[in-house]
Amino acid sequence: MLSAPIFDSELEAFRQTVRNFIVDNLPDDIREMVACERMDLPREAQVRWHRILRDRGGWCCPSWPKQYGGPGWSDEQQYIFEQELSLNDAPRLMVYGVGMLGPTLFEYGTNQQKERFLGEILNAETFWCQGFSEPNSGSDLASLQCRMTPDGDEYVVNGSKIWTSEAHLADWIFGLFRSSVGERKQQGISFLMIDLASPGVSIQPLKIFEGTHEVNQVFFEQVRVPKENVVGEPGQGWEIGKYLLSLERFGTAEVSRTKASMKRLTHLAFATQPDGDRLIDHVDFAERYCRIERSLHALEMTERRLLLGHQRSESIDTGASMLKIRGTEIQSDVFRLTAQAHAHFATIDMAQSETCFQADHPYLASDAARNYFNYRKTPIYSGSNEIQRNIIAKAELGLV
Amino acid sequence: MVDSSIFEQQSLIEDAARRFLQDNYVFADHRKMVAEQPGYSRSQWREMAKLGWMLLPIRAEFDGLGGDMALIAALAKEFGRSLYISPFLPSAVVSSQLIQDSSNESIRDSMLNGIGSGEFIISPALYEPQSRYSLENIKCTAHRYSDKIVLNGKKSAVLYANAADSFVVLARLNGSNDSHDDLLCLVPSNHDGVKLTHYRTHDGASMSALTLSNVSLQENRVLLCTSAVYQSVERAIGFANASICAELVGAMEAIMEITLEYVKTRAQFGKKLSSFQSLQHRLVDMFIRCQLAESMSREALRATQLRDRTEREMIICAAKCEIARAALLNAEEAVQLHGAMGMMEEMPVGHYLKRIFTLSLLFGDADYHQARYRDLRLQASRLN
Repeated sequence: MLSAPIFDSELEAFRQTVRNFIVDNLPDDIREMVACERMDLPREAQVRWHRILRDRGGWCCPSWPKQYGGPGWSDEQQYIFEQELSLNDAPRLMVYGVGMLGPTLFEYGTNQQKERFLGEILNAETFWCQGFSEPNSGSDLASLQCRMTPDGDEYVVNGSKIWTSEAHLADWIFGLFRSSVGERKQQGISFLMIDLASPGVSIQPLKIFEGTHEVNQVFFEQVRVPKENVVGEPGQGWEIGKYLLSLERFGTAEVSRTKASMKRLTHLAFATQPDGDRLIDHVDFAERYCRIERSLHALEMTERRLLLGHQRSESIDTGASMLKIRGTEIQSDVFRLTAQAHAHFATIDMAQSETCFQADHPYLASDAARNYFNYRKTPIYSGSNEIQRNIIAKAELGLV
Repeated sequence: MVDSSIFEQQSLIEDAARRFLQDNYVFADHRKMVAEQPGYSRSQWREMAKLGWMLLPIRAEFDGLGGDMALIAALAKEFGRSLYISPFLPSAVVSSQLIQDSSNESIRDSMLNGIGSGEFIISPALYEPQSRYSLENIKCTAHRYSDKIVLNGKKSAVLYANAADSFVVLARLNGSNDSHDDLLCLVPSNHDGVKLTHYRTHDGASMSALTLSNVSLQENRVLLCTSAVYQSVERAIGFANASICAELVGAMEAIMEITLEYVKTRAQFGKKLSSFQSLQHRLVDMFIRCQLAESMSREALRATQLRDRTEREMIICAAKCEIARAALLNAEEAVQLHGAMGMMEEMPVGHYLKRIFTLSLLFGDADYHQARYRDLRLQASRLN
């Protein structure tokens, strides 16, 4: 792989510290799941790793300041930490509680909310999911209809949320709900937190076409939620939701995860096959491999240029959208090529097969195809790439 | 990380160059100058030299301004933005690099002084009719006699030979097939046996074919010999490509701006072109390619300073390959988004396409750098 320019010696020492800790403390069973690119880690495994990081000084919540139990790291440190997690096969951090809700509560939460929820996130006592999309409000999120109607000290919630990742593992959901009908559809939306154990909540698993269960539909029927569970003011939800999504600056581009996937592909490409041949010696494969490698390097350098250091002055508001588009395109390229690298072995679905006619290889090949199918979600989720292009067109280029 | 004072110097040069070109080289000036020989204004060239720009690629030990690629790139990017065309790339970037590698003080220092003051234009004569972009495939011969060297052969793609005082000629000792036997010689353009055929390139610049027939030189005209030649030429071409990358990025920025301006002004079906989503998304993709090209251009100039040869060359190849393709695609998209107006001679966009097309083919096209990247990638894995 092309090597990126190194950070200063202090940050490189930090990188070494972080790397050593991960290598020495990441449990083998978790490492193996991540190395197979699995995203649907059991809650138990996520909690176990989260607490190992917590005990190291709040590393489980890298973006949190010290006062809330985080490590109080700079952007550069967070970036390096995230990269080392990926490159050493550690799981993604708990994105909904740690990455999204926590920092949103720092900004908009009441003291009571902070006291109650932040500690539980830090200690992995409550597991969160996020309710944004609805059956008829996907890309057009502001048209959402799931209603919250005031009734005394409570709201009554009716409607449903869809594509809710990890709702089947979660204790609580936060999200955007319709509290009134305003002139603009962005008005009258509130940010609400709901205990999934409340009467009237039901969760229906949705299986994705490659066979895994990651997403769900969450139904709310006359669910009563205390008014103190609104974050910010009622009607401020759209603003808070935008703030929350802006926190995921490095997140959705998954550059460091794609680097890790590329490293796996590199092992495959340069390994000597039983017939003495290497994939990389095939010109067409090598060209596709090299093209991805160059694109990924350009993306990594762009991410650094826009997000870190003194060059941050060049930061553009729509940088996250741009990185998400290219990041997920390149990620898809890596998974496609990894699957195709296995030739006809990639066609076998081991989960549905009874015998194993050639040890190990078909499992690897079968996983590669499954991952390729699974990762078709990334250009769609978190604001589809078409929506990201709309955002850049309007906000960056002034095209209306 | 990079010294932040370099960023300050970069923005000073950027500002100065942009002001100078806005005052002296708008699109109308470009069209006027490329319509006449030699394709650029000599008086403007002298003014630029007075601003110290030709000294930028020359190291301090030779009385230059340091030779920092970041500063050369800042200037090249502004040239790209304003379609400025001149012998800067062949003379101030490539020849000056080659000459700085020479230990032949008798000609080195005076030539560098001449390049730095803008008084001399020295063009590299490296490629040959059969070589395409490979500099291992050299047929121009050098016969060594007791007190002189005699050159015979043909050279292609000699940039701005119509303005050059001398050429840096790459030749190989007679009978050898090995780049270890290469020489770099300084050949005056009016020397006996030098024949030039000048061509105009599509962007309005100039390129020539050079024939050397029994060109007899004193031994002290040799700048460099043995395996040092290949290394020096490889590095100089790296500088050329880093400079071209920056120039392409400047041109990409300019066409992005003029195309955005155009779609926001022009209306069809009762609506501004800028309101059509299919056009918006194409413009967004152009914008993203600009941003990624900017990052890779900076990587290329960082790479010119790397000691590790494989890494250095890989990054430069990656940058040239990706930027050349992105720039050409953006230029084609820009013409398309202008509709039929994009085909008009008086509109700048087509001229940017011609310039980008030309630059992308100099010192290795995208396919060449793609293949070279692959070769280096395979070598790198063998070393690991």
